[in-house]
Amino acid sequence: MSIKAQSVSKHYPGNASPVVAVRNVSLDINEGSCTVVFGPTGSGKTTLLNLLAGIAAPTSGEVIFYNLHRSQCSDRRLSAFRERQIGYIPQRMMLIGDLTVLENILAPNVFCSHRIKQLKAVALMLIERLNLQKKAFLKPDTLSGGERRKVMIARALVKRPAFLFADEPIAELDDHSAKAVIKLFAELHEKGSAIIIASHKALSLGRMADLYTIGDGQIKAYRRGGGT
Amino acid sequence: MLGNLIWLSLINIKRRKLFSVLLFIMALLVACSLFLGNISSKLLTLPDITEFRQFFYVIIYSVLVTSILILSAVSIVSTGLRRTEYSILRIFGAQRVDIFLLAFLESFFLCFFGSLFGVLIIIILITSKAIYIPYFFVETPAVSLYQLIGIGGQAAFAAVMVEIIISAVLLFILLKKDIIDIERGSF
Repeated sequence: MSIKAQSVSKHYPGNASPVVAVRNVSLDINEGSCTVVFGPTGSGKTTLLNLLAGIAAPTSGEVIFYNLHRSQCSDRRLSAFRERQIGYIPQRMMLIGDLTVLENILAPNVFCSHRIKQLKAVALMLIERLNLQKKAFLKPDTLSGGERRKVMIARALVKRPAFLFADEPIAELDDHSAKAVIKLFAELHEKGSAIIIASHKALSLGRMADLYTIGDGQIKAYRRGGGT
Repeated sequence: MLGNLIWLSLINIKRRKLFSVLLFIMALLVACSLFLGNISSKLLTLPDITEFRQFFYVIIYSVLVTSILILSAVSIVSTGLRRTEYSILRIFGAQRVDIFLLAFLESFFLCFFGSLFGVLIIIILITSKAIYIPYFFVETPAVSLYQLIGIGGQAAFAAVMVEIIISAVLLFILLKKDIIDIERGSF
Protein backbone atom coordinates (compact mmCIF):
# COMPACT_ATOMS: atom_id res chain seq x y z
CA MET A 1 0.00 0.00 0.00
CA SER A 2 1.31 3.47 -0.80
CA ILE A 3 0.38 7.11 -1.23
CA LYS A 4 1.69 8.78 -4.38
CA ALA A 5 1.77 12.45 -5.27
CA GLN A 6 2.16 13.08 -9.00
CA SER A 7 3.10 16.65 -9.98
CA VAL A 8 0.80 18.15 -7.36
CA SER A 9 0.40 21.88 -6.92
CA LYS A 10 -1.76 23.77 -4.47
CA HIS A 11 -2.75 27.42 -4.81
CA TYR A 12 -4.61 29.50 -2.27
CA PRO A 13 -6.58 32.60 -3.28
CA GLY A 14 -4.58 35.79 -2.60
CA ASN A 15 -5.42 39.48 -2.75
CA ALA A 16 -3.77 40.19 -6.11
CA SER A 17 -2.75 36.76 -7.40
CA PRO A 18 -3.02 33.19 -6.06
CA VAL A 19 -0.47 32.14 -3.45
CA VAL A 20 1.38 29.01 -4.55
CA ALA A 21 1.93 26.83 -1.47
CA VAL A 22 3.11 23.64 -3.23
CA ARG A 23 4.51 23.59 -6.75
CA ASN A 24 4.77 20.50 -8.94
CA VAL A 25 5.77 18.02 -6.22
CA SER A 26 6.05 14.27 -6.86
CA LEU A 27 6.82 11.76 -4.13
CA ASP A 28 5.88 8.28 -2.91
CA ILE A 29 5.09 7.22 0.64
CA ASN A 30 5.28 3.46 0.98
CA GLU A 31 3.78 1.35 3.74
CA GLY A 32 6.24 0.94 6.59
CA SER A 33 8.47 3.79 5.45
CA CYS A 34 9.69 6.72 7.49
CA THR A 35 9.75 10.13 5.81
CA VAL A 36 10.78 13.54 7.05
CA VAL A 37 9.73 16.67 5.18
CA PHE A 38 12.22 19.29 6.26
CA GLY A 39 12.15 22.98 5.46
CA PRO A 40 11.87 26.49 6.84
CA THR A 41 8.63 28.06 8.05
CA GLY A 42 6.29 28.88 5.17
CA SER A 43 7.94 26.48 2.75
CA GLY A 44 4.76 24.44 2.13
CA LYS A 45 5.28 21.49 4.50
CA THR A 46 1.82 21.66 6.09
CA THR A 47 0.07 21.99 2.73
CA LEU A 48 2.03 19.03 1.37
CA LEU A 49 1.03 16.93 4.39
CA ASN A 50 -2.61 17.99 3.98
CA LEU A 51 -2.49 16.91 0.33
CA LEU A 52 -0.88 13.56 1.14
CA ALA A 53 -3.31 12.88 3.99
CA GLY A 54 -6.32 13.51 1.72
CA ILE A 55 -7.45 16.53 3.72
CA ALA A 56 -6.93 19.12 0.98
CA ALA A 57 -7.52 18.73 -2.75
CA PRO A 58 -4.66 19.67 -5.10
CA THR A 59 -5.18 22.51 -7.58
CA SER A 60 -3.42 20.43 -10.22
CA GLY A 61 -1.76 17.02 -10.32
CA GLU A 62 -2.97 13.81 -8.74
CA VAL A 63 -2.69 12.10 -5.37
CA ILE A 64 -3.20 8.33 -5.43
CA PHE A 65 -4.13 6.59 -2.18
CA TYR A 66 -3.33 2.91 -2.73
CA ASN A 67 -5.58 2.52 -5.77
CA LEU A 68 -7.89 5.50 -5.23
CA HIS A 69 -7.31 8.52 -7.44
CA ARG A 70 -8.13 11.66 -5.45
CA SER A 71 -9.70 13.46 -8.41
CA GLN A 72 -11.99 10.56 -9.24
CA CYS A 73 -13.01 9.02 -5.94
CA SER A 74 -16.06 10.10 -3.97
CA ASP A 75 -15.93 11.88 -0.64
CA ARG A 76 -17.39 8.74 0.96
CA ARG A 77 -14.54 6.49 -0.24
CA LEU A 78 -11.89 9.04 0.61
CA SER A 79 -13.33 9.52 4.11
CA ALA A 80 -13.40 5.75 4.58
CA PHE A 81 -9.72 5.59 3.55
CA ARG A 82 -8.81 8.34 6.02
CA GLU A 83 -10.82 6.66 8.75
CA ARG A 84 -9.08 3.29 8.31
CA GLN A 85 -5.56 4.26 7.28
CA ILE A 86 -4.66 7.83 8.28
CA GLY A 87 -3.60 9.36 11.58
CA TYR A 88 -3.00 13.11 11.61
CA ILE A 89 -1.32 15.41 14.10
CA PRO A 90 -1.99 19.00 13.03
CA GLN A 91 0.46 21.83 13.61
CA ARG A 92 -2.23 24.11 15.04
CA MET A 93 -3.95 23.30 18.32
CA MET A 94 -7.10 21.54 17.17
CA LEU A 95 -8.95 20.20 20.18
CA ILE A 96 -12.62 20.24 21.14
CA GLY A 97 -12.83 22.76 23.97
CA ASP A 98 -15.97 21.35 25.60
CA LEU A 99 -14.70 17.77 25.92
CA THR A 100 -12.21 16.32 28.38
CA VAL A 101 -8.78 14.99 27.35
CA LEU A 102 -10.03 11.39 27.22
CA GLU A 103 -13.13 12.39 25.25
CA ASN A 104 -11.00 14.46 22.86
CA ILE A 105 -8.90 11.39 22.14
CA LEU A 106 -11.97 9.19 21.60
CA ALA A 107 -14.42 11.54 19.84
CA PRO A 108 -12.87 11.63 16.32
CA ASN A 109 -12.22 7.90 16.42
CA VAL A 110 -15.80 6.75 17.02
CA PHE A 111 -16.71 6.49 13.31
CA CYS A 112 -15.34 2.97 13.04
CA SER A 113 -16.27 -0.59 13.84
CA HIS A 114 -14.26 -0.62 17.08
CA ARG A 115 -16.33 -0.49 20.23
CA ILE A 116 -15.89 2.53 22.48
CA LYS A 117 -14.70 0.22 25.27
CA GLN A 118 -11.80 -1.05 23.13
CA LEU A 119 -10.85 2.48 22.03
CA LYS A 120 -11.00 3.65 25.65
CA ALA A 121 -8.53 0.96 26.77
CA VAL A 122 -6.01 2.02 24.10
CA ALA A 123 -6.58 5.72 24.86
CA LEU A 124 -5.92 5.19 28.58
CA MET A 125 -2.71 3.29 27.78
CA LEU A 126 -1.54 6.18 25.56
CA ILE A 127 -2.48 8.72 28.23
CA GLU A 128 -0.28 6.82 30.67
CA ARG A 129 2.62 6.56 28.20
CA LEU A 130 2.46 10.31 27.60
CA ASN A 131 2.21 11.07 31.32
CA LEU A 132 -1.23 12.69 31.10
CA GLN A 133 -2.97 10.54 33.76
CA LYS A 134 -3.73 13.48 36.04
CA LYS A 135 -5.19 15.47 33.15
CA ALA A 136 -7.39 12.78 31.59
CA PHE A 137 -10.64 14.26 32.88
CA LEU A 138 -9.74 17.93 32.47
CA LYS A 139 -10.67 20.20 29.58
CA PRO A 140 -8.01 21.40 27.10
CA ASP A 141 -8.09 25.02 28.31
CA THR A 142 -6.50 23.90 31.59
CA LEU A 143 -3.54 22.26 29.81
CA SER A 144 -0.19 23.69 28.73
CA GLY A 145 0.78 23.90 25.05
CA GLY A 146 2.93 20.77 25.32
CA GLU A 147 0.17 18.79 27.02
CA ARG A 148 -2.31 19.76 24.33
CA ARG A 149 0.19 18.61 21.71
CA LYS A 150 0.45 15.25 23.52
CA VAL A 151 -3.37 14.91 23.48
CA MET A 152 -3.33 15.42 19.69
CA ILE A 153 -0.58 12.79 19.39
CA ALA A 154 -2.55 10.27 21.47
CA ARG A 155 -5.66 11.01 19.39
CA ALA A 156 -3.81 10.19 16.16
CA LEU A 157 -2.34 6.94 17.53
CA VAL A 158 -5.49 5.35 19.01
CA LYS A 159 -6.40 3.37 15.88
CA ARG A 160 -2.79 2.47 14.98
CA PRO A 161 -3.01 4.06 11.52
CA ALA A 162 -1.14 2.66 8.53
CA PHE A 163 0.05 6.21 7.71
CA LEU A 164 0.78 8.69 10.48
CA PHE A 165 1.16 12.33 9.39
CA ALA A 166 2.75 14.48 12.08
CA ASP A 167 3.14 18.21 11.49
CA GLU A 168 5.79 19.61 13.87
CA PRO A 169 4.90 16.93 16.46
CA ILE A 170 7.50 17.85 19.06
CA ALA A 171 7.48 21.61 18.57
CA GLU A 172 6.36 22.49 22.10
CA LEU A 173 7.60 19.45 24.00
CA ASP A 174 10.42 19.20 26.52
CA ASP A 175 13.22 16.70 25.83
CA HIS A 176 11.73 13.96 28.03
CA SER A 177 8.28 14.20 26.40
CA ALA A 178 9.83 14.46 22.92
CA LYS A 179 11.74 11.21 23.54
CA ALA A 180 8.53 9.49 24.72
CA VAL A 181 6.75 10.63 21.55
CA ILE A 182 9.60 9.53 19.25
CA LYS A 183 9.57 6.15 21.03
CA LEU A 184 5.82 5.80 20.39
CA PHE A 185 6.38 6.66 16.72
CA ALA A 186 9.22 4.10 16.51
CA GLU A 187 6.98 1.39 18.01
CA LEU A 188 4.23 2.21 15.49
CA HIS A 189 6.83 2.11 12.71
CA GLU A 190 8.10 -1.30 13.86
CA LYS A 191 4.53 -2.62 13.54
CA GLY A 192 4.54 -1.63 9.87
CA SER A 193 3.04 1.85 9.81
CA ALA A 194 4.49 4.64 7.69
CA ILE A 195 5.48 7.78 9.58
CA ILE A 196 5.58 11.12 7.76
CA ILE A 197 6.92 14.02 9.82
CA ALA A 198 7.06 17.67 8.79
CA SER A 199 9.57 19.70 10.74
CA HIS A 200 11.59 22.89 10.48
CA LYS A 201 14.13 21.48 12.96
CA ALA A 202 16.48 18.56 12.35
CA LEU A 203 15.04 15.53 14.14
CA SER A 204 17.14 12.84 15.79
CA LEU A 205 15.92 10.08 13.51
CA GLY A 206 19.42 9.27 12.31
CA ARG A 207 19.72 8.16 8.71
CA MET A 208 16.77 5.77 8.82
CA ALA A 209 14.26 8.22 7.30
CA ASP A 210 13.79 9.37 3.74
CA LEU A 211 14.48 13.09 3.87
CA TYR A 212 12.81 15.59 1.57
CA THR A 213 14.07 19.14 1.88
CA ILE A 214 11.41 21.58 0.74
CA GLY A 215 11.63 25.30 -0.02
CA ASP A 216 9.23 27.68 -1.78
CA GLY A 217 6.79 24.81 -2.24
CA GLN A 218 9.25 22.68 -4.21
CA ILE A 219 11.43 19.70 -3.32
CA LYS A 220 14.98 21.03 -3.24
CA ALA A 221 16.78 17.87 -2.15
CA TYR A 222 16.07 14.20 -1.45
CA ARG A 223 18.09 11.75 0.56
CA ARG A 224 17.03 8.11 0.70
CA GLY A 225 16.96 6.62 4.19
CA GLY A 226 18.95 3.57 5.21
CA GLY A 227 15.92 1.67 6.53
CA THR A 228 15.35 0.60 10.09
CA MET B 1 -20.90 2.40 14.96
CA LEU B 2 -24.38 3.60 15.95
CA GLY B 3 -23.57 2.80 19.59
CA ASN B 4 -20.42 4.94 19.36
CA LEU B 5 -22.39 7.80 17.78
CA ILE B 6 -25.05 7.65 20.50
CA TRP B 7 -22.23 7.78 23.09
CA LEU B 8 -20.70 10.85 21.42
CA SER B 9 -24.04 12.64 21.04
CA LEU B 10 -24.87 12.12 24.74
CA ILE B 11 -21.38 13.33 25.73
CA ASN B 12 -21.85 16.44 23.57
CA ILE B 13 -25.25 17.15 25.17
CA LYS B 14 -23.74 16.69 28.64
CA ARG B 15 -20.73 18.93 28.02
CA ARG B 16 -22.58 21.76 26.25
CA LYS B 17 -25.03 22.46 29.03
CA LEU B 18 -25.95 26.02 28.00
CA PHE B 19 -26.85 25.14 24.39
CA SER B 20 -28.53 21.92 25.46
CA VAL B 21 -30.78 23.74 27.94
CA LEU B 22 -31.56 26.47 25.38
CA LEU B 23 -32.51 23.95 22.70
CA PHE B 24 -34.59 21.98 25.21
CA ILE B 25 -36.54 25.10 26.25
CA MET B 26 -37.03 26.30 22.67
CA ALA B 27 -38.30 22.88 21.58
CA LEU B 28 -40.63 22.94 24.57
CA LEU B 29 -42.01 26.36 23.55
CA VAL B 30 -42.39 25.37 19.88
CA ALA B 31 -44.27 22.21 20.89
CA CYS B 32 -46.49 24.06 23.40
CA SER B 33 -47.49 26.75 20.90
CA LEU B 34 -48.07 24.23 18.10
CA PHE B 35 -50.13 22.10 20.47
CA LEU B 36 -52.32 24.99 21.59
CA GLY B 37 -52.64 26.15 17.98
CA ASN B 38 -53.74 22.69 16.91
CA ILE B 39 -56.23 22.45 19.75
CA SER B 40 -57.74 25.76 18.65
CA SER B 41 -58.00 24.82 15.00
CA LYS B 42 -59.11 21.21 15.36
CA LEU B 43 -61.21 21.10 18.48
CA LEU B 44 -62.75 24.53 18.89
CA THR B 45 -65.51 24.79 16.32
CA LEU B 46 -68.09 26.96 17.98
CA PRO B 47 -69.27 29.68 15.60
CA ASP B 48 -69.88 32.37 18.22
CA ILE B 49 -66.30 32.62 19.44
CA THR B 50 -64.54 33.51 16.18
CA GLU B 51 -63.12 36.75 17.49
CA PHE B 52 -61.86 35.13 20.66
CA ARG B 53 -60.29 32.37 18.60
CA GLN B 54 -58.54 34.85 16.33
CA PHE B 55 -57.07 36.58 19.38
CA PHE B 56 -55.96 33.19 20.69
CA TYR B 57 -54.32 32.38 17.31
CA VAL B 58 -52.38 35.65 17.27
CA ILE B 59 -50.93 34.94 20.71
CA ILE B 60 -50.11 31.30 19.97
CA TYR B 61 -48.54 31.85 16.55
CA SER B 62 -46.54 34.84 17.78
CA VAL B 63 -44.98 32.56 20.40
CA LEU B 64 -44.44 29.90 17.73
CA VAL B 65 -42.68 32.21 15.27
CA THR B 66 -40.55 33.77 18.04
CA SER B 67 -39.58 30.34 19.37
CA ILE B 68 -38.59 29.11 15.89
CA LEU B 69 -36.50 32.27 15.32
CA ILE B 70 -34.71 31.85 18.66
CA LEU B 71 -34.25 28.12 17.98
CA SER B 72 -32.66 29.01 14.61
CA ALA B 73 -30.38 31.60 16.24
CA VAL B 74 -29.25 29.11 18.90
CA SER B 75 -28.58 26.50 16.20
CA ILE B 76 -26.59 28.97 14.06
CA VAL B 77 -24.40 30.04 17.00
CA SER B 78 -23.96 26.46 18.21
CA THR B 79 -23.02 25.15 14.73
CA GLY B 80 -20.65 28.09 14.19
CA LEU B 81 -18.87 27.43 17.47
CA ARG B 82 -18.45 23.77 16.53
CA ARG B 83 -16.63 24.35 13.23
CA THR B 84 -13.30 23.15 14.66
CA GLU B 85 -14.97 20.02 15.99
CA TYR B 86 -16.54 19.19 12.63
CA SER B 87 -13.21 19.85 10.94
CA ILE B 88 -11.44 17.40 13.31
CA LEU B 89 -14.12 14.77 12.77
CA ARG B 90 -13.79 15.11 8.98
CA ILE B 91 -9.96 14.86 9.14
CA PHE B 92 -10.27 11.60 11.07
CA GLY B 93 -12.57 10.08 8.49
CA ALA B 94 -16.11 11.08 9.40
CA GLN B 95 -18.27 11.28 6.30
CA ARG B 96 -20.71 14.14 5.86
CA VAL B 97 -23.56 11.75 6.54
CA ASP B 98 -21.92 10.71 9.85
CA ILE B 99 -21.91 14.32 11.03
CA PHE B 100 -25.53 14.77 9.89
CA LEU B 101 -26.39 11.65 11.89
CA LEU B 102 -24.55 12.95 14.96
CA ALA B 103 -26.38 16.30 14.75
CA PHE B 104 -29.66 14.44 14.16
CA LEU B 105 -29.17 12.33 17.30
CA GLU B 106 -28.30 15.37 19.44
CA SER B 107 -31.29 17.35 18.11
CA PHE B 108 -33.56 14.35 18.49
CA PHE B 109 -32.61 13.65 22.12
CA LEU B 110 -32.94 17.31 23.16
CA CYS B 111 -35.99 18.29 21.12
CA PHE B 112 -37.90 15.04 21.58
CA PHE B 113 -37.73 15.22 25.34
CA GLY B 114 -38.19 19.03 25.33
CA SER B 115 -41.32 18.89 23.18
CA LEU B 116 -42.69 15.84 24.99
CA PHE B 117 -42.25 17.66 28.28
CA GLY B 118 -44.01 20.74 26.88
CA VAL B 119 -46.97 18.73 25.55
CA LEU B 120 -47.31 16.85 28.85
CA ILE B 121 -47.38 20.12 30.78
CA ILE B 122 -50.20 21.46 28.57
CA ILE B 123 -52.20 18.20 28.83
CA ILE B 124 -51.83 18.19 32.62
CA LEU B 125 -52.83 21.86 32.84
CA ILE B 126 -55.92 21.31 30.63
CA THR B 127 -57.10 18.11 32.27
CA SER B 128 -56.59 19.52 35.75
CA LYS B 129 -58.46 22.64 34.51
CA ALA B 130 -55.58 24.85 35.63
CA ILE B 131 -55.78 26.33 32.14
CA TYR B 132 -59.40 27.38 32.01
CA ILE B 133 -60.66 27.53 28.49
CA PRO B 134 -64.34 28.20 29.11
CA TYR B 135 -65.63 26.87 25.82
CA PHE B 136 -63.32 23.92 25.63
CA PHE B 137 -65.29 21.12 27.25
CA VAL B 138 -68.72 22.71 27.06
CA GLU B 139 -69.89 22.06 23.51
CA THR B 140 -67.40 19.37 22.61
CA PRO B 141 -67.82 16.68 25.23
CA ALA B 142 -66.32 14.10 22.89
CA VAL B 143 -62.89 15.63 23.32
CA SER B 144 -60.95 13.00 25.15
CA LEU B 145 -57.50 12.58 26.60
CA TYR B 146 -56.64 10.36 23.62
CA GLN B 147 -57.38 13.20 21.23
CA LEU B 148 -55.22 15.53 23.28
CA ILE B 149 -52.36 13.00 23.26
CA GLY B 150 -52.75 12.52 19.49
CA ILE B 151 -52.60 16.23 18.78
CA GLY B 152 -49.77 16.62 21.30
CA GLY B 153 -47.80 13.89 19.54
CA GLN B 154 -48.18 15.72 16.24
CA ALA B 155 -46.94 18.94 17.86
CA ALA B 156 -43.93 17.19 19.42
CA PHE B 157 -43.07 15.56 16.09
CA ALA B 158 -43.33 18.92 14.31
CA ALA B 159 -41.06 20.60 16.90
CA VAL B 160 -38.41 17.88 16.50
CA MET B 161 -38.63 18.18 12.70
CA VAL B 162 -38.25 21.98 12.84
CA GLU B 163 -34.94 21.68 14.76
CA ILE B 164 -33.69 18.79 12.59
CA ILE B 165 -34.41 20.75 9.39
CA ILE B 166 -32.64 23.87 10.77
CA SER B 167 -29.56 21.79 11.79
CA ALA B 168 -29.52 19.94 8.46
CA VAL B 169 -29.59 23.18 6.44
CA LEU B 170 -26.77 24.73 8.52
CA LEU B 171 -24.61 21.60 8.28
CA PHE B 172 -25.26 21.29 4.55
CA ILE B 173 -23.92 24.82 4.03
CA LEU B 174 -20.91 24.21 6.32
CA LEU B 175 -19.89 20.74 5.23
CA LYS B 176 -19.90 21.34 1.49
CA LYS B 177 -16.65 23.27 2.06
CA ASP B 178 -13.23 21.65 1.74
CA ILE B 179 -12.12 20.15 5.08
CA ILE B 180 -9.43 22.72 5.81
CA ASP B 181 -11.90 25.53 5.05
CA ILE B 182 -14.61 24.31 7.43
CA GLU B 183 -13.26 26.20 10.44
CA ARG B 184 -12.31 29.32 8.50
CA GLY B 185 -14.62 32.32 8.23
CA SER B 186 -18.33 32.09 8.69
CA PHE B 187 -21.08 30.27 6.82
